[in-house]
Amino acid sequence: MPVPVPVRAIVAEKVSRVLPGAVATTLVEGVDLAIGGGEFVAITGPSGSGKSSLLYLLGLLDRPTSGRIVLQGQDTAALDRDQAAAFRLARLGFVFQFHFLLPEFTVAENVLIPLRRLGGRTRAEMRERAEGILASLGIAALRHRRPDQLSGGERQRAAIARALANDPPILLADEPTGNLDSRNADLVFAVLARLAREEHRTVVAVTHDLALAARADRRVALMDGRIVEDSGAPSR
Amino acid sequence: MSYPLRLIVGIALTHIRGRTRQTALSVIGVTTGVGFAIAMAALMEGSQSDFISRIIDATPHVVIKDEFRNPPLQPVQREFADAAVALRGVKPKDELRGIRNPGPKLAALDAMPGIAAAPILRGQVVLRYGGKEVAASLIGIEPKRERAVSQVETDMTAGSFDDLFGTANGIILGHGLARKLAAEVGSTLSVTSPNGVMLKAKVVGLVDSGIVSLDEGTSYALLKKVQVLLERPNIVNEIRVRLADVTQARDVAGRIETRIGYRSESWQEANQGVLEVFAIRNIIIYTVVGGILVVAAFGIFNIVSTITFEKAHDIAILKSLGFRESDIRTVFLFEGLLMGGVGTLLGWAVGYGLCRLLGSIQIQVRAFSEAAALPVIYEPAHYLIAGAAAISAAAIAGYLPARRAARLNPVDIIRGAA
Repeated sequence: MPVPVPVRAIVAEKVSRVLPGAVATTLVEGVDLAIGGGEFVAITGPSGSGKSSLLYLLGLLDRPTSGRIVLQGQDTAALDRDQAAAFRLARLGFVFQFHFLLPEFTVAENVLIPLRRLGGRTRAEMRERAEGILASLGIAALRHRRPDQLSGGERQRAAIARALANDPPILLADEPTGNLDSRNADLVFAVLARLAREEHRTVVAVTHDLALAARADRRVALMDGRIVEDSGAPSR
Repeated sequence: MSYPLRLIVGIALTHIRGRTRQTALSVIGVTTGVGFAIAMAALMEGSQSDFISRIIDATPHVVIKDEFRNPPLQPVQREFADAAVALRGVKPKDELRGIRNPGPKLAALDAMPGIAAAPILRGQVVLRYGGKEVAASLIGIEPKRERAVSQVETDMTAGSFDDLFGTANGIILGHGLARKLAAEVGSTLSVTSPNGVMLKAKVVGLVDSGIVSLDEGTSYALLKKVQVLLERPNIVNEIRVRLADVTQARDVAGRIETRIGYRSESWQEANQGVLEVFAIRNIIIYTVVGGILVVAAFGIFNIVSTITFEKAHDIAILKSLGFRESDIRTVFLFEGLLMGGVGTLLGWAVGYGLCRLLGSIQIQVRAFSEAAALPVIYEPAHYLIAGAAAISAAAIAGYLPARRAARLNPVDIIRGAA
């Protein structure tokens, strides 16, 4: 019997995140969001609107104070820390504003890190997989270079390659073009769009740049932790 | 090694390679601690076992003395212990001191397994030879029994116990005593007891025990002759006992005392003061060595803490990639253990080298007649204990920052960097 493919890759139901303290700070409040498999969603909003906080919640780096998040049909509230880590390793890819490549390792070694942590492949298969990803992102020739020998755009593409290492169905990007010039920002956004449209991954990218956001299938705008605008799922 | 473990080890090694100088300092700290711990332990236990072999093995393991641990009660005290009327001025019977008729007691001791016993009678005499007079201790022995309980015959540089039977009155002199008298084997001395009894004795052997005080003041003759000289027939004042298992001395002494009644002193009891000094010395030295290891552990703690602080971004990204807290802990714990492990291996080499160096130093101790090397023992347990202590300290020093690193919230770090 074939395994049913979840129609909705990400579902957030009334998700809130409140930081406790003398004065409680609400980061995200009552967010309802459903994102289909293969959608490319841009989350926009001003600084402090809760974009990144929502992304960290969707990526299981943080836990909601209330509400429920279901990823790929898995209710994440039931996952303990180790299970959440295992879920991230196998099914989620992260790209941040800063590349966060490990500086002592080469590009290829950085891509191999999640592959080696997940295991289940031979060394040759891992190397082949890493080189395939680097080639698809146009940076195969840079595989033996260290991060400090790369340009900003190259580093970010290397970070995307690392995020894709374990072939995750969901890719989460937090201001991935925030530190790039417009040419490299275009290039990185084009890569994200291709990952959604050609490889049918669910891509959620947080960005300030409305022009880049316009290139996503769907735009969700946040203000004060609440969704104030959702262009809706594409018709395709 | 599995891929994840190899990966974790690889990350740890990369961190360490990035801080070579500090890592080297931490490793040197552990090396010093382990090396000195081994050398100190080898020297301490070496000197302790040397003391035991020189002093205690050269003397009996149990000595039955001609005295009682508690003075015997007077008959009136025994019969009327709680009497209302006290008798004063009861004078104890004036008895000649000594263990009388030792034959049955020796037979009883011979029946006990793992025991060899020899009686002696010791008295002060004056030796005269060629116008020289020297006061000395004369010990009457039964050669056959004596050679089973002491090393006197082994330490003889001339003659043997059997030579005592080859002449009418044979005497064996300590090396230093013979030198004082300018006597040698074959010389005939006059031996005078405190009661004025005198006999002529021929020197049939010389003893060099290595202990100056003993060799300058001790002589040996047959028990029967000494009993005659000291006018104490069929009396001995000590029975020396040697055991197959020296550690049983205290128990055996207790059993003998219960059976024979005379005070029986084990070598532990006789040397209790010295053994207590050894114990105190061990505590002091091990405390110092432990302090060195703790300082070394602080070095490891410092470097692992620094690395966790510097690598906070790496920790955050590894966790966002799906590394578990236990993975992060393992990375930093491994770093601490690696430094501790390398330090231990080098410390073993340094410790061995120090032992060889110390063992080669010759010292002249006034109490002993010959120059001797510093007593050092090579005991694998010292290496294992020092290594285990160092690695445990390194594990704790690595674990504390590792635990903190594993608990870092990646969101806080990523937000801080953004």
